[in-house]
Amino acid sequence: MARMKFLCDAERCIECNACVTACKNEHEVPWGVNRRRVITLNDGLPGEKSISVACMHCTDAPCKAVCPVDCFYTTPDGVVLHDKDLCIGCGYCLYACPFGAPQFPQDGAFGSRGKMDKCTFCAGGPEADFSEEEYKKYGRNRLAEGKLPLCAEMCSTKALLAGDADEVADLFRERVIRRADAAGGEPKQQRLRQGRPWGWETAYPEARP
Amino acid sequence: MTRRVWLFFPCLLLAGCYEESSVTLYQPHVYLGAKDAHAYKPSAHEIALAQRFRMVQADR
Repeated sequence: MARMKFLCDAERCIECNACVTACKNEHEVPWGVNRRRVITLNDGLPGEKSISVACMHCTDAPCKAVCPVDCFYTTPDGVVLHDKDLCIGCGYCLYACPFGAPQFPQDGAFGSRGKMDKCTFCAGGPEADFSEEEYKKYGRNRLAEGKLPLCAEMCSTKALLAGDADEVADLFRERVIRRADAAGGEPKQQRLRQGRPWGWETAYPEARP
Repeated sequence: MTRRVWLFFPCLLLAGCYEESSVTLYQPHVYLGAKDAHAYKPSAHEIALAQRFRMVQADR
């Protein structure tokens, strides 16, 4: 069974925001809602890093765990989707999500929240595939067309990857090894350290030199 | 007669010391065993998405 995942390569992302634009355009996302956004750390300083973030389609999704009306579900492809007909716009999922993925249109009176909106991995929603209703509520269903999310497909530097977790991991692993080889120098441990993905030592403190 | 019997038993014992002369050579990453009936078979949709990934997102 496939497990669809996103991965953003911080060494490649150039903060062009084309993924954000592509997403908004493909799904006709309304103003104020950003299913995807680019975050830059240490902006303007030497060595700044950018990553493109959206719903990560968690295997054990916290949004799904806390939803009081149980509107979330996981597709056989491992994509976490929600039913807007069930959603009450309470915002509990926003508090639970570590990535800030759930978005809420604020077009009502007194700042009231509308139905939650988030990245669908271009997989539509619970309505029939390619139906007008599905497009209106969730955007285009590219996965059913045999395509992958547009944000990743059009990424010019191939920083953003989207696909089956095994495929994505294989491709990223090849990159890490290539970078380690390109870094040159001896001994091998030093080369591997230089080629490591950015943030590796933050995630794994025991790997620090 | 007794001599034949004495010869028969050592031959019978030695028969168990037969050595297989046809050797199976295993290549790395090539599975030569029986088919696994429980192995996961990806659907056509999954295969199509994997091909799409390699076609569109692989490094240039």
